[in-house]
Amino acid sequence: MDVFVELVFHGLIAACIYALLASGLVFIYSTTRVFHLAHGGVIALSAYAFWFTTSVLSWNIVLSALMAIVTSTVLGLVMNELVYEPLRRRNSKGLGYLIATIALLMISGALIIAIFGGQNQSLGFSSQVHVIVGAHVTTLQLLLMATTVVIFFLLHLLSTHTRFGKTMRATADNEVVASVLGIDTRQIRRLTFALGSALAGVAAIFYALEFNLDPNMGVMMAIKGFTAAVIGGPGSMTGAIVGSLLLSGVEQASVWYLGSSWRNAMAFTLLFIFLLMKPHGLFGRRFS
Amino acid sequence: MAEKNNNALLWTIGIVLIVLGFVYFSATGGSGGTLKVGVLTPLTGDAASYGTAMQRAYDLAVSQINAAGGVNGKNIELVYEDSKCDGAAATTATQKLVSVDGVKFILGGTCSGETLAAAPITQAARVLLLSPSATSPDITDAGDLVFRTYPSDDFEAKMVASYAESTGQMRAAIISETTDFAQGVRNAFKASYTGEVVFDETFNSGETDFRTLITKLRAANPQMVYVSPQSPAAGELILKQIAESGMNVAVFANNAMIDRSAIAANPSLYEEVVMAEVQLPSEGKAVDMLTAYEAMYGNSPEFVAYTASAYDSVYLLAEAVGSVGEDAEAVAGYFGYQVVDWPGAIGTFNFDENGDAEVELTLVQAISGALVPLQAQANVVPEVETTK
Amino acid sequence: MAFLADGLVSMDAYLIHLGSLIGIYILMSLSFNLVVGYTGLLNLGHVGLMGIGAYVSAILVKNFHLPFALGLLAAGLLTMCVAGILALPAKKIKGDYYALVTLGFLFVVFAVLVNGESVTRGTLGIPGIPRPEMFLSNSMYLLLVACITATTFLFLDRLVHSPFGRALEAVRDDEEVAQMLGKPVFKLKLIAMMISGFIVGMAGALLAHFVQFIAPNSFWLDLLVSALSGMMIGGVASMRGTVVGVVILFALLEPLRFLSFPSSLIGPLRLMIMMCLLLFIILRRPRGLMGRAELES
Repeated sequence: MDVFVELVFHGLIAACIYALLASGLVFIYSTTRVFHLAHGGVIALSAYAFWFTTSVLSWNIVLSALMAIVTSTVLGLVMNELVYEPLRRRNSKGLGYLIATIALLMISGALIIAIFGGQNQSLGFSSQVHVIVGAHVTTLQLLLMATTVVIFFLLHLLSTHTRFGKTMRATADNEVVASVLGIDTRQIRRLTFALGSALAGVAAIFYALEFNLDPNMGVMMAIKGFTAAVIGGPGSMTGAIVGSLLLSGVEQASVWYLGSSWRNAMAFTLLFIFLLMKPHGLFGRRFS
Repeated sequence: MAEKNNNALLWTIGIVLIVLGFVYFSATGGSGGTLKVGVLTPLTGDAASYGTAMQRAYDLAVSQINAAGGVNGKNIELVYEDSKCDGAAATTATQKLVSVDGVKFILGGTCSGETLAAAPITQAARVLLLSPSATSPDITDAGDLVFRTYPSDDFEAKMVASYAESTGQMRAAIISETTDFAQGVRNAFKASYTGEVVFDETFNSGETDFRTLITKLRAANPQMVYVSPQSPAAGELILKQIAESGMNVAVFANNAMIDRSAIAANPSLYEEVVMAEVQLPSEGKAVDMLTAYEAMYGNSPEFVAYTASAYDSVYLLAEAVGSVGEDAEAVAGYFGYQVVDWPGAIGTFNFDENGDAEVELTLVQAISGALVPLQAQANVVPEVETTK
Repeated sequence: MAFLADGLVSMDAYLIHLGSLIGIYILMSLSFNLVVGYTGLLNLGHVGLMGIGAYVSAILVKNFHLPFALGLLAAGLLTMCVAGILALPAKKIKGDYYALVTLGFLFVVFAVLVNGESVTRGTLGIPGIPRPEMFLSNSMYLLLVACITATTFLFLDRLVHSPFGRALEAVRDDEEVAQMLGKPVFKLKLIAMMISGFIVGMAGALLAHFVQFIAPNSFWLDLLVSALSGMMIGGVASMRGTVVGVVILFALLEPLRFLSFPSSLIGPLRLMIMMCLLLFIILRRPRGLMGRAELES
């Protein structure tokens, strides 16, 4: 029994991490229709900014956290302005964006090595361990779960109860109509990238505290966030949560029943089967 | 308008090509006063953390040798190629080093894979390949000009296994990373451990979440855990998550986890972890190397044993070239017959008949953030506890 | 001693080595373009197929001592079958979503290569993959690669200019219209995928026997970026463009080895320059230098 509760907690913690990784991806995709894989690179770079300011420059941890969020927001905006907007102006199609985003992902990894060096970095962070119904959970992990819930709640409010949310959805559904209606679609996309990338900063902070840093972590994060987002349906926030839970559940089950090395294999098999059966994800809808 | 733009692009590409082509051919020109040595190491990609650690060690050794007058009056010039731990990238890089730069000696590769991919090319061109860190058993048969300065995995695992047995830990769990080095250590441990292996699982590189694995491990109820990661980063995460899981178990680890600064930074995580360390002598070259390393880079090396091995490989090569000249075959002969109890930073070493190094190992235990040799307290049985 | 730096002769050895690699990459990009550029299926699992071909031939020739030619053929045929299976989702799924499915396929192939240790040796990779006696030297191997590449190019170039090729393009441009005109849409996609699979499987086998060492990470995102770049630079839906594109890719990247950077920055700087060049080309010419089509998303 205890073991089961513990496994559920492990699954929840991993699911929260994946949901944070996926949230920015989904948020950006739902408005701009850009599958921003370089989001993983943005997370990795801001995680390094967090580590650098807190461990090397010994800033206050709150200040460093702000720095991480500022970094990720700026990076997201720069990528949008320098790469995605010009591509849009040229009426580029899916393939162009895809190559561009993979190139940006690779550039992020190279930037980390060039600026911070190729070593792994440890923040050496540890927090109080609590025993909740027989499972061991740390303060950080509780905070992580709470933050994830709050973020998704806020995102939900934003998209359903604000004017900004409505204009976002209008932009996503039909850009031409939206601009005829007087919506500055470019500005909306800019704001979307800023907000979505700010989420990358939040993910970066938790990831860095929980799992430390590796210069190549961006690729794996992009892949995991991508998997969670696609299983759920890349345009849906609910989908991102459900996708993360499913992904994490399958991963924990495959570690438990098959062994740790099968973890990614099973996760990707799940993704593959899901795409075959429900290509638009669980909560995706077709966009005309 | 669009057409005009396109022409401009074609022109730009053309000009870039011409300029690069010019650089390309001019760079292949003379190499009069220097001893060119190729380096194969992953500088980007998954393995960049080991690759760049190697690079620092090479740069350190070369700057010292050059400052002391070089080899036979020539400065050593390192030509780096990014081999990415990938076969195809390594072959192109090797081919370029061998045929364009005309090097006769290559340091590397860092991974076994790239070393194995490079070997057919270096063998055909009769170029010496000296790897400081490739541990795959396949390297032994890679060719007569392929050498490595890193010890075989067997010794360290054997040492840890027999120590564990002597302290009565007869139920072992093993967690290992799916890399050649970590798997080599794991297999050697299994081969020499006489107790029962109750749990034996592998994880892929880049894995960060070991919690379910640890819960499963706990269910197998072992007395000890043998952790065999590829890098200190993965190992530290395992220790952290073992501690957070509330499990009390004796932890033993392979020497990839010997990162003195990490251990000093997190004494409670590493407390009482037992490892077999490639013994860096407490005097002579090893101390010089560590001091110089700190002076040059401002911190202690992440992979001490690999760093020492890479550092030694430069000195070994310099010494061999210094006495027999710039000839790969002669240097190979020198390695085979003249390198006897060679005093290096990594310890006193010899190449065995397969070109592998033999070095000394000591058992150490992390106590309050420092590594204490176990021989000094051989009669003290350590407390079986890792969490504070 | 005998190894004096003889500028020209030794440069040749390097260029011959690159030649084989370029040939193999051209094979990979040509077959990629057939599916992506002509048929409009964004198959990101292409390098996964290449990995399958490489492993099949490597294992058959090294462990079962099959002749090289048989290994090559087996690699092509088996990959063709897998490609056929990978074409099945294309019946229902289109555009970006097909790209996602096939990217998922690439991840699965990678995971299976890493985990199927008893057959693939996992991350240790397969060393010492033999080359056939006749093509032992790099120059002979280049000849072999050149012959296969040239034949493939001629075949594909004729194919895409045949009624079959025009039918493929009709499917790419507007599937509904093609359907109405009575074109067997799915069958066309399936055949294109299978031809592409056969070619890329052989390309994988050629790579395996050329490098003589393969590991799962040889067929991962880096290679996918190369395949995409080769096709994008040269041109979507242009066989000639693809050949030019791959050559330009190498001509742009290889010289980066000769630029001198501070040693600690060599690796990342080269990678960044390469990626920026790629971005520059996509931004300036979304269709590539000689491309005729753009892809619907």
